[in-house]
Amino acid sequence: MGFRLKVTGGKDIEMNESILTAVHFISDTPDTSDARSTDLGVILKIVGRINFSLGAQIADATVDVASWALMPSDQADCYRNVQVQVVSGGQIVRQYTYPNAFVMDYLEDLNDEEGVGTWTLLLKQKKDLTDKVELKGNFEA
Amino acid sequence: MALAFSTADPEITLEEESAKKIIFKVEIPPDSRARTKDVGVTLTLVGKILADTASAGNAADSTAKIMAWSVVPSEKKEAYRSVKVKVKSGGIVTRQYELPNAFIVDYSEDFDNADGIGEFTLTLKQMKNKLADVKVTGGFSE
Repeated sequence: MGFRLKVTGGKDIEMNESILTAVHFISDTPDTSDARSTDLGVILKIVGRINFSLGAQIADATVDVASWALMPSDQADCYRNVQVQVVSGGQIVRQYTYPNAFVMDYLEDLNDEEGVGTWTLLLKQKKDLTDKVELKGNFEA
Repeated sequence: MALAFSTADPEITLEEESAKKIIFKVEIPPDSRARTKDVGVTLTLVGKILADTASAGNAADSTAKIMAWSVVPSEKKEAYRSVKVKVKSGGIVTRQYELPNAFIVDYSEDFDNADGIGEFTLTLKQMKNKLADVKVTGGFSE
């Protein structure tokens, strides 16, 4: 099972299964509501490695994610178009497209035991534009 | 033990090999001094996201339809659906849960490079003013 990430609308970021290790899609409404809530948030959590390229031959795309996470909210490109694909056996099992995603949380974990670090990115589609999210599943790669 | 999940209008039938776990919960506030009117019925379904590798484009499951349901806005009629879950073992329906006006509270999908398949968790609730319409039956043959 492989994952592919493409971020556009700012500095373009592309990652594949050599970096990404897990993807979580969350469609979230308040748990205490008595009926279906209008307060719907669509979240995407992406986990990956902080890989390094020997001899620095390939630019490290995870640095671009970190600088996106640091971006102040008054800049236009703190909202970006994000597409994540889950690929298995020649099939796109899932394709999540968030046209106006912003970073809610970004975390990096490095220690002296593992050879590479890990990072976790939590994204959300801008809430008034939740209906612009495109969710697709099961089509040919 | 096999689990069969289905909704009506629009129809979703989840294959038995996709459903893994079901939790049926009736909740009242734990701090109430007497039997409360504030009863909630929650149904949690955990299942697998399978891909048919033999023919790309043909899903081995209908989980993508549940994903689409999870983002239907509350203004639309389709946000509420009639849900039926059957738990079958040894030719007997041990439990049948019917939530005629169910809506999605939470839906999540988890994919990991250690697992070959994905997993989804669906949390449903019956609309609170229609709680009396929830049916739990069981112990009959199909």
